[in-house]
Amino acid sequence: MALIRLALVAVLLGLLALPQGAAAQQPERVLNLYTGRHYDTDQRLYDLYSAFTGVKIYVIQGDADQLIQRMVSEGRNSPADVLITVDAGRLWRAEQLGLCQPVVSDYLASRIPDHLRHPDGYWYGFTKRARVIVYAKDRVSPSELSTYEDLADPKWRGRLLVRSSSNVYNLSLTGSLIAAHGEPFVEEWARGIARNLARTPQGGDTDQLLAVAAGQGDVAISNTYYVARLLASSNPEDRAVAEKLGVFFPNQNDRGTHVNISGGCVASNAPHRAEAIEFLEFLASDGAQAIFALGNHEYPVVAGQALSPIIEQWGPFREDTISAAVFGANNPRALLLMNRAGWR
Amino acid sequence: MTVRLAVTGLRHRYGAHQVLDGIDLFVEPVEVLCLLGPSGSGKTTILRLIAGLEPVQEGTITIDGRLMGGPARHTPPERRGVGLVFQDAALFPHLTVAGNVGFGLRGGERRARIADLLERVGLAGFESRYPHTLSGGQQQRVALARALAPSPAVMLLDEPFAALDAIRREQVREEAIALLREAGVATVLVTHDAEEAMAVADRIALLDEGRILQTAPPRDLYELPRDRRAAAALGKVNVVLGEVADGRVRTALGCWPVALPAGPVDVLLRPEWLRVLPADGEPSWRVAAIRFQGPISYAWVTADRQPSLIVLAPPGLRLDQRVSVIADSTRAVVVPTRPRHVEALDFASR
Amino acid sequence: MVLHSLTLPADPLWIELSAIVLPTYLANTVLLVVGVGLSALVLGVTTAWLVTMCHLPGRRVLDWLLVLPLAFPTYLLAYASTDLFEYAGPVQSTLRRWFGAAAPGIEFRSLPGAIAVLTIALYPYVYLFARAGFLRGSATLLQVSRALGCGPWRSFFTVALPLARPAIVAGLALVLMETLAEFGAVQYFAVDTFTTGIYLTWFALGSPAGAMQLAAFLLAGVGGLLALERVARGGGRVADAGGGPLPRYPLGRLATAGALTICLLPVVLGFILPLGVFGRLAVEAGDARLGVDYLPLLRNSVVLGATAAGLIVLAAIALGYAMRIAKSRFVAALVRFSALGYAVPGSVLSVGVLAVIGAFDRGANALGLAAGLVAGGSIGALLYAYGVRFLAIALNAVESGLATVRPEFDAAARTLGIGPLRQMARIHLPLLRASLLTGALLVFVDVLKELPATLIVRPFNFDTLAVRAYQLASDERLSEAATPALTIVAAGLVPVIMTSLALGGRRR
Repeated sequence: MALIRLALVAVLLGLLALPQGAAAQQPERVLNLYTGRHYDTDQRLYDLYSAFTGVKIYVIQGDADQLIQRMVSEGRNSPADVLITVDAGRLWRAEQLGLCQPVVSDYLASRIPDHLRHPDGYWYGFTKRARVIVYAKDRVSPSELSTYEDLADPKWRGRLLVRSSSNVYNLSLTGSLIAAHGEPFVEEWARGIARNLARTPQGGDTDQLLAVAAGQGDVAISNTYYVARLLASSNPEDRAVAEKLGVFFPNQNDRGTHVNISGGCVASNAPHRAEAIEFLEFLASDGAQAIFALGNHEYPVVAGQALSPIIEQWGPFREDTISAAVFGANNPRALLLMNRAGWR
Repeated sequence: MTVRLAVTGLRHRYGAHQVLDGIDLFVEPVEVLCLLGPSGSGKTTILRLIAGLEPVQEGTITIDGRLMGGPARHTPPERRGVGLVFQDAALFPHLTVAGNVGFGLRGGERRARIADLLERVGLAGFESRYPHTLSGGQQQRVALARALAPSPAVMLLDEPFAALDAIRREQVREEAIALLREAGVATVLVTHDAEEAMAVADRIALLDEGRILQTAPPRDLYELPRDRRAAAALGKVNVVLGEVADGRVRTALGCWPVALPAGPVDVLLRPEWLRVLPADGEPSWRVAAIRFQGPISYAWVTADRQPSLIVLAPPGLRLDQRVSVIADSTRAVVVPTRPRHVEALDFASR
Repeated sequence: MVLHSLTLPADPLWIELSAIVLPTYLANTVLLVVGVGLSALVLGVTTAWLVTMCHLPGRRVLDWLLVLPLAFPTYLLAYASTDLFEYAGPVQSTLRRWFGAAAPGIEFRSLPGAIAVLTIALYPYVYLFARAGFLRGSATLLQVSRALGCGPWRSFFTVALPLARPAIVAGLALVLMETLAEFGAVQYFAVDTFTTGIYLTWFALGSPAGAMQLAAFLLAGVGGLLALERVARGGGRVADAGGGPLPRYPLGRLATAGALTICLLPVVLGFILPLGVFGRLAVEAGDARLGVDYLPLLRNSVVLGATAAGLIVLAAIALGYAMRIAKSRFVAALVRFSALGYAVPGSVLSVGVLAVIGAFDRGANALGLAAGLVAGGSIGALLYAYGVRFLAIALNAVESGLATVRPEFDAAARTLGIGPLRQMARIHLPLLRASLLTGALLVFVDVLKELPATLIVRPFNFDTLAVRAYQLASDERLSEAATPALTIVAAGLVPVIMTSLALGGRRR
């Protein structure tokens, strides 16, 4: 009996001790945010927004795919006001599933370039992440590097490092290649990439960088901010790794380096629509753009904003201006094609 | 006559196996009824049905005139007022002796009652011991005290003494039965030990293959078995074939008058109903084996074209000695031989 | 929910993709499950036997040391071991420095690597159940077997092992289910399994129907395996034959050294080394938010774990009883089916849970009982998700405990005037105490480590230690993830040791 009683007491205490969930019923102005971003510096964004507007932000942070599924199951009852993802593909899917509503805002339209937002305002990009080639300074000369397409060349046999094809950054990169060259060409390209790999794709972008520094391969495909983060690390081992690496922006002589976006949309059933739009506009403001740029070493979408000193040293580059809506939509085809080509 | 426990027409099957096939029983207060039968004869099933551990499929069970179990009625075990003791005591290992005995008790008298019961089973002072520290006999006595504690109307004992060693068994048994009689509880004791049944029972119900062969006080059952199976159940018996004609039964051991119609009969003779004398004529029997059993000895005697007989061996009997055998015709039980097909008919007519 | 998916039309893209990848995934899954199952079985049973049946120095300490790898979430073990053993890690770097090019480049992130790490992470389940099984095992029977001339080895294989089999199988079933559901660690080792297929189909391809069909397929496989085991076990029922304290086998000096090595190896690999890795990382570059911020995280984790453990064990008791009382195959099958959630990858399962809760809310709204979201995004929803996921653990514990409660106890209690409910309180719960504590402990630690369901079902502004560790790790900031990881381990250790002491003290 004592055991049962103990269990019951534990349950009751537990229910009392935990904060109650229903944020949407608070009297004050609130905003419910579902975000796929997992960067600590984002907290500063929320604090800043709350300080300006007095709106309290409730956050659920998780995998964008699962957040989308949660919104689907919640349906009309969903408390979500804003959905933020770290890539265009997920925004495209949320829009396809009817989870976003169009937002017409002169401010957003004036701040964010056309190719970084949905043509009808269903979603907007707030930061750019460039997918670049990282090379070992002591073994590769930048003059040997040129384009993504070139990485399929046999001269890189056994020297290339890249993460799994199922990762969204790779899906979007391949999606942009499909838009540029069509599927048959890209499948051949993916086959070349798979042949050139120094090892089975594994880990995240940082793991590829570490492997290049350790000499397991000579070139890797990675987002810029992972390199920047190593350079800015307080850990001397990380900085030593980064010192061995060079950053190369591919395709400068044609369409430009592939750029993905982290962006957001207003949920179609947003209970606090006004606050949601206000929040999106805030994300495009100078202050928010600076936090994105300095906090996580991402590229701001708004022209003329300050960059983090680390990525500033890599200088300006030409970016692929294909709409995120296009390569986002290509994601499923890209996955199929890369798996067919043997890129796990 | 008051009846405390009555069982009528009990039938039970597990899947295709008919375990009980029409059981009728009654037990009076202060009476000890033994269910005697080989394993698999359905003894334990009867106990489980009486205790309410299983619902009755067919038939009825009443205690003190109240219907406890029937096809449409199932009083749960805890409201039947029955006590149950198993072969191994099944004491709760996490409770002390006092905890076990007091398990079914409530209220202020609990402590006194526990002490009283332990006193009566001779285990005063064992209150705070745990079951695993007790001997088998002590455990069984605690189990009995535990079952008696709520003052049940009916006590069911399922081979409670079988696991005890021979010397301890008799003592524990006598004490237990005395205690049960003193408590005035109607007792059903399940056993496969005929001697035990005869020693303690007021009446014995002989059970075989789910049916009751015969119910009677031990002496009646021993001396007047209904047929050869009933006779064999209680102890050694000689079955001698005979033929009745003209009011006389004719056997290998002689002729004598009986009040039976003509036909083949079984003559049932306990060993002690046969007398062995030195041979003084024909037909003569030969002593084939002698077994010494302490107070008495048995001998097996054979003759040409006759099945061997088991007899009490008088002192001085030797192997291979020629003897003559005389039956005590006043005690011999003569019953009509029941061929198998007759039994089958009997079964079908029920 | 999962079953319903079978009726949905398949996405053509999915059909095409599955034709390409599924054969590989299936082969990997089979290799992984067989590999982990066998090695966890051998490791768990061996250590349990050595600790319970042999004279070993430090046996009492080893007894609970061997459980410690449970405190580490599998994905963190994967991180730590990879950090040590991969190409760029210290072990292989040192080897290269010593031997230059002659040092073999071992690919740690591979199927064998994954099997090794999962074995180390999961063998405690087998160990715990096998240990309980051996302790319950009949000393009489072992003595009989020795008297019949069977040495320790033959006695082990012919008597102790068969007697402990139901318990061992219960532990093994947990290992197999967990292996099938494992995603993070397996993904980290670049091994694509059936679960990867489910994820890929659902999330990268955006085809929930396809994913659910795969999950249903997986469930059918697990269900089939379990049913097979039950059939193989047949009617054989192992009851406690008693017989006093177990005799322990004395070991020679060499054998003692060997036995100690076998017992310490998993402890070192599964607890001490990772503790060292995370300890170093935490000291060098710990999470900047350590301190006051961690108190609510710790509170959330612990309270959630305790609440879930209490609820789930209560549910398991109820279900275990339903099976014992009803004695019907249908009820038993239904209960077992409800416990299959453990074999479903957490995030797939949690999305299923979300759908159920969403439907519940819509239903409540339609009936006018409530407006808006009632269950969705509440702690209740989270507890429900844990229940679906971890019921198997508690149920296995309750079941294996109930199997040792002799039916005579029930009969004796009932005839003494005790109804079924009070009988449960006065007989079964005290007798089941050890099993229940073990079950509650496992659930608690698992909830503490649980990630996918917590991540997606939780309410707003609700973080746990596991969530925090994941946030940092998924941001590829492993060194900072060390701080919450260590906190999880610390929070898990307290009850592990407490339970071990509570159970050890009671053993007679």
